[in-house]
Amino acid sequence: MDSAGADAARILGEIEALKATRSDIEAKISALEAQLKGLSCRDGNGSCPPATAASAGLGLGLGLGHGLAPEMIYRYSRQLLLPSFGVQAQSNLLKSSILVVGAGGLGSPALLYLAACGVGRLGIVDNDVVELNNMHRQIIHTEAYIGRSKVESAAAACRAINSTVQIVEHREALRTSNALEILSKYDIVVDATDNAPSRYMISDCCVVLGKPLVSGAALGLEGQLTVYNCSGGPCYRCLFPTPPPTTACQRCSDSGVLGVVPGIIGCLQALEAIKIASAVGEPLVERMLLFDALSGRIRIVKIRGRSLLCEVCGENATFSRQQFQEFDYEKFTQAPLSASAPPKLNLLSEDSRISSKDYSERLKNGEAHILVDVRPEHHFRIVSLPNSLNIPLSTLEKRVAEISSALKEAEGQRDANLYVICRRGNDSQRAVNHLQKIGFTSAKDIMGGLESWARDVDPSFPTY
Amino acid sequence: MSILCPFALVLRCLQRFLSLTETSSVIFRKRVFAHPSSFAAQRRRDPSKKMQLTLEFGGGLELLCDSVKIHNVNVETPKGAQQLAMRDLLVWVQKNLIKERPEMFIKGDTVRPGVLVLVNDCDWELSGQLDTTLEEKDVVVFISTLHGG
Repeated sequence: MDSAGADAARILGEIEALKATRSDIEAKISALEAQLKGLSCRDGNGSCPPATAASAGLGLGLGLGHGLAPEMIYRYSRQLLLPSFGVQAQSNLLKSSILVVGAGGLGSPALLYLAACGVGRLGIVDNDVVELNNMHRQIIHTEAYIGRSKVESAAAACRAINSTVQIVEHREALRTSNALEILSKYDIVVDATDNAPSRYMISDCCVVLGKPLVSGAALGLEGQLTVYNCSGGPCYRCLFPTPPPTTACQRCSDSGVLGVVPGIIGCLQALEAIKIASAVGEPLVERMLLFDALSGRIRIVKIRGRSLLCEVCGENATFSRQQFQEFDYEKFTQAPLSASAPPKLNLLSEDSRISSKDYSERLKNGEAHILVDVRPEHHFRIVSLPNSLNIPLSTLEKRVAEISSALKEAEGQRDANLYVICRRGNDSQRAVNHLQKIGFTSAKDIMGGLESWARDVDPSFPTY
Repeated sequence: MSILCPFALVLRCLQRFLSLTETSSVIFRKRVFAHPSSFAAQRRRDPSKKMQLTLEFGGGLELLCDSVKIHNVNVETPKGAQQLAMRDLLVWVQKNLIKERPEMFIKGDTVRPGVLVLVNDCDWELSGQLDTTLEEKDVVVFISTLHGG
């Protein structure tokens, strides 16, 4: 039995190894085919076969060498009229396929322009649903799609703009288990995601598959754009070999973002993808565009080239498909593959916490207490509970005296209680932890913060 | 020959122009490596001379320095040193500009992972990282990479 088991394991191992070799060879073949196609397109003899349904049609019948059907000529006429773009670039574009990962703030404008300009095949990956607080920046979605899949919504919008483009819907989260299969079907990848592990994963996958990656990011009033793994340039890991600390990875849902800022970066991503797909211009390789909306400045800086020591694309790197599939990106970056709410902390003992419902009961009973709201001041200005005292967590240590004097004021015959609240119930625990250490032993955290207040006590209380 | 001659002349002019721009771009790129004698000599004569620099923080790093993005500063070359290197500037920045959470800027003797450093719009990886030497009126940008979308 044992030897049979060992044999089976050996055979399985061999099969896996052979499969890996096969997929490597397949990737090389498709890369070479694409190269060949590119060469025959560029020689100007019109030997390009009309590869997509979009470019097939009457064109050949009329003896037009480029394979553009009459309605294509009319639709894209303003691009065909550009001497530096013209019919050849348009023809290249119609034969290309582009994958946009993320149909959010960056993906929205990128997808709209890529569909409009006449990419042959356009893929969309996302696992989210459309929410009301997306609408200010994710302009591809309409109110009618709230609660429905972002991919479904984005695909409908793209089809409405250009029915001749083949739109492929991938209604799933991109993971190491499906990334190779999905990305391998496209020529160019656009990273329009919102978190660090996804960015490492997509870059590594592009290196393994040999695909150029148009990477954009936006937060607050700033944006960044560059092209990785293209024309011998660096990959994401060449630039950022070590992931940043999680505290440095701000999310739009915490730090905020002005809608038009990702819009601008997303448009620039579409532009870079179009340039690569149509083989015109100079892609933003070994350069990075930094956009500062507030000061109205765009700066393009020179960044390092491909690192010979890069663990994924370097000289001696052996990063294989199998290694990619087994790599734990969430562990590597200490962050989840979706920019969802942070995990709920559990720093305090049960008797140092009360539920929002219990707090509302105590409030009704007229209990002597003070309520400290530890959110940042600009959060407090959006909405707050009546009679709460705003002392942001970052200033808590300096402002302890204010709590002491407020408590003294609230005290009648009995001791007044001290409650702490925040947005979701993590910072309030940190604050209570600190307050208890410095002597406010009765300090209690309101579990789940204002979100739980809105959910369990007062549904009309605004959330953000 | 008579047709070729002006053509050759144009070609030579073009070559000269190209080689000129080539050299100037090399000089520009090397500016951060090189030690142009004028400034160095000036500093040797007057060791207390401070160097004027523009420091910029972005991508959220400005939050560590009172939310101010652009700082026009005068930085003194450390005692005994001929030139101010990025290594010295990081120490100076940490001491003089970073007001909170220094771990969000520095790790060990360099910037934390995820921070790009640009000297005159050029990645400091290309000019020697911590050993990059600075000159009067250089612009140094510290930018935290963004992940949002």
